[in-house]
Amino acid sequence: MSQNRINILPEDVANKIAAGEVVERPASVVKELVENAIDAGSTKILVDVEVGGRKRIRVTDNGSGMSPQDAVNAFKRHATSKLRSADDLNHIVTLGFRGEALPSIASVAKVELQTRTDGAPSGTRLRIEGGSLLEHEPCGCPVGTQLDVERLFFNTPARYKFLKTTTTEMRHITAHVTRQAIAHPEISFRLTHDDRNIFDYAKATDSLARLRDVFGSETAEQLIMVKNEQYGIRLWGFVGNQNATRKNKDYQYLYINQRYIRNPVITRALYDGYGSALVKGRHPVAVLFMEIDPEWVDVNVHPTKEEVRFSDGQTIYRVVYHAVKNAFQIATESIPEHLPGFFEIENKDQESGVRKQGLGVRDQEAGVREQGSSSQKLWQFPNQPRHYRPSRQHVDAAISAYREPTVDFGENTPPPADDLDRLSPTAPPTPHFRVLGQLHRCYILAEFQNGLWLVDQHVAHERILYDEAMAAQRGQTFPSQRLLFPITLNLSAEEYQRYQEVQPILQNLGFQITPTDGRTVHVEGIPTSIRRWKDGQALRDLLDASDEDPPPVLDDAEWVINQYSCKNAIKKGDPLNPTEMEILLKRLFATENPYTCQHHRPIILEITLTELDRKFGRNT
Amino acid sequence: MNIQISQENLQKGIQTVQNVVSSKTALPILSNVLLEAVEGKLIFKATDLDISISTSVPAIVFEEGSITLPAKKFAEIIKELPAISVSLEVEQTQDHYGWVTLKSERGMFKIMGIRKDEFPNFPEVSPENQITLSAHMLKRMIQKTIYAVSSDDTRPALGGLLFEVLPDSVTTVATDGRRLSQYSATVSTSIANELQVIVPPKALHHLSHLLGSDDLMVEITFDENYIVFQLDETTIFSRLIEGPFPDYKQVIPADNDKLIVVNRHDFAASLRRVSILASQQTRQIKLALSPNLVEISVNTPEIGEAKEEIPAEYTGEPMEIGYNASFLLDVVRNMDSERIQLQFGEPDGAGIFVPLDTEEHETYMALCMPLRLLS
Repeated sequence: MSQNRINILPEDVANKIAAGEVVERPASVVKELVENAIDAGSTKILVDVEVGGRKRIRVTDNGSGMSPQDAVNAFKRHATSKLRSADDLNHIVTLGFRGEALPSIASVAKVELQTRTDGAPSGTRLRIEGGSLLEHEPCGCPVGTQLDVERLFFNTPARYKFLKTTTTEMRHITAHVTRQAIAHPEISFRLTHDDRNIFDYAKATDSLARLRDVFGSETAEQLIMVKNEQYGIRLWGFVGNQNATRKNKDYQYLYINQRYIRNPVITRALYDGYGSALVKGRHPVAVLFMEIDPEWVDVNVHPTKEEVRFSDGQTIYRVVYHAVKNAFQIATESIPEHLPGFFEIENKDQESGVRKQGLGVRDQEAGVREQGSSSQKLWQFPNQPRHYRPSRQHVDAAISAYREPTVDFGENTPPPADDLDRLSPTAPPTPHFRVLGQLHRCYILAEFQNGLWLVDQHVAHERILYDEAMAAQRGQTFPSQRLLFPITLNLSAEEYQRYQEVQPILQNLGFQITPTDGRTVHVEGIPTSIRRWKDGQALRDLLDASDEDPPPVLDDAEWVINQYSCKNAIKKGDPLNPTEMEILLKRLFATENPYTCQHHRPIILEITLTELDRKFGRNT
Repeated sequence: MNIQISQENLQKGIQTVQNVVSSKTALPILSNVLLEAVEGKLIFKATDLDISISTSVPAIVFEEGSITLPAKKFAEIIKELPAISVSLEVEQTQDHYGWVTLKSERGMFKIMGIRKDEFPNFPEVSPENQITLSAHMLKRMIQKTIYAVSSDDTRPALGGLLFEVLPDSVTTVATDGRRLSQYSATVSTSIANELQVIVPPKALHHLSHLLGSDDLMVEITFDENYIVFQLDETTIFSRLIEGPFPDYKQVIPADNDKLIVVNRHDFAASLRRVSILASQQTRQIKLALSPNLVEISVNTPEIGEAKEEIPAEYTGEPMEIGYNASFLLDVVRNMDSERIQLQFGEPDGAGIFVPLDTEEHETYMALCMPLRLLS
């Protein structure tokens, strides 16, 4: 009897174990095979699935194909053409790299491979079942690779039993292929299930064209372009406008170096970038591509490679956040009316400075729609055969071709003060309304053209203050109301620390504060918006904000501004007279977004006459 | 209780106390008015616990007694009665209630009332510190200062009007921390030591309504927790706001040396016009002084700009100072002088506004803290 209890597992057992990680379900097979096809430089990928992948998964590409020897090696564990040493792990540019996929799949299914490289007189056919090579022979086949995976999990009944319904498995497969299709508009993708087309995306000229195929033209028209290049990170893509939100996150596609990923930091940045444009409980539509030095990203967290880690999440956050936010500002504030130059490279007559009228979104839509019909698209993908490196050069070209329109797209540089003045005469007109009264000292009722508005008085005022404070942060300063009884405050160490951090913002808001000795400050003037000064407690409340847990994503300035606008806003229960209510609404409509507050809560509830008529059973 | 009384007197009594009755109160008895019949008069009492009021009118009392009635309904009935004599009779029931029968020439109303037991007692005050002022003077004192009372409920002491009584003067002061108003009347009082109380503006509003005739003399009693105004048959009690009131004298600059005299009507009219274009948030306007001229201007991004010049008596240095237009409008609105003097020092310091044509025995001034102008 042997004393040794540690056994080296036979290779087929090791592969089965690995398969447990890599090949979770049919969709994993599809994902791995499609990734291989993409890495092989294909321009056409066909995925045919039968019975949710239980019976058959076949992926056919027109990529580079494999030599007879490579075809055999491909099924050996940790055999990969994409990695040679551990050092290469630090700059992974291909989708696959672990060398686990094919052997894992082959260990739990019956696999047939046909492949031929360009120029080779004949191709190779392999048949492997449960990890054993059964056949290896030359054959005639087109250039590229076809992998036929039959009876997945035929030898691992436990795994087979855990497969979900055909519909569910098919949903996962569709999701996986869609993710790849979005990232690679230059490749045509066709997915069939039981000989029926799920989709058939022709090779597209640019990402937006592909998105139109994937999302449908209605959603595609609601997309706003996003781009940012900061700290060596290049980001571009599209986000939906306020109208294009969804009830779940299904319409969010994040890619790093063209690899589909999930990452909470990016998601958070996306939502925060939307800011108040996003109503609570709704999720944005977003397709974001990031190009990052591979050394910054650890994709080797999990075998499915969907989760990634960043060495500097904060920076990633900033890049995404600013990109989305800037895109929104441009879309809602200052898109030239017909968006020339924005998407069309060859357009000389930009109508600079034309500010869009009205409140909403419609003009943005028009703007993006414009893009579809423009002659020369921004994101074009040349038809050159691609190998490993994704489209950096395309993005480069696109970015350099993009002429900065009227608005600074990059860093948050404050516009010069007189710019603000010049913008002013075209401020959007206030819609007509008539204040009817106050409801429970909480809501303002107003009649407007199509019905009734219910306005939350607190969030409305909060929105006004927030906008003013943000304007102050951008360099617009507000006068300071001098105090008859100036106040000296002894700040705690934390308060003082925070005071020093946010001092310039406070000053722009209208605080006149002079530090005296130690941590003592003398307050001689306060913003005109402060309603309850509370002998300085109002300032202390702002500085105490640090006690609460600030979301990591907001910088100090925004945190303070949030606090400022919330704490100084009219509260629920404050009585308002008709004049005050009217002024409040007018000021609200002068803000960037009168409909949603920065915490994604709605400000105005609209009840239309049509709705009322319907509820009263009145026929119109 | 059984009385005979004219509709006119009933009407007068209920009208006097009715405003104090709160329409929404947790204590139902507080929405009632208390009627007490004693020796040839009917006494009306109402209270919201902060302010209490009582008044009496003549009546023929057959039987003394008391009852409380829902103030609003009772007042509406009285108001609609013809101007004749009516009788009021209370029929006590076993419990807390009582039926009040009001009989006019041709009609009868029976109203359910609540017995007096639950009605709060009125405060008892010591008559130690008492002064007497004419209604005319008291009215001016209140009306010219009350606008500056703070509406910030977080600083209660500023939420009332300060009454400061000295042996030879009575002064009222209001401030909200951004502006201040001060009115003093030279009048000899029997108060030996300086006395300061802070009175809630609500009580003063009620009082102002009742200060009809200028010749009326009002007796004011200062108690530790209450101030009491006694005018003819009517007494108003108000709870005081706890102090201390800030040391306002210290913040009134004594060395403002830029003195400008303008016509108040010109100044007010210009302010009203120019301020139309002021920002709704800051209400900022600018005063620019130059020899014999004050320029009032506004420049609001996204709204517009305006300027007007008015003639002024001024010989000092040119200066610019920013203001909340609403504050200045409040100042000029509450003055009745033809000419007012503007007294400025530093552009960051308090500006003082003094009417030059005042009544005898009075001094009045308003102070406004400026808005610091953008550079």
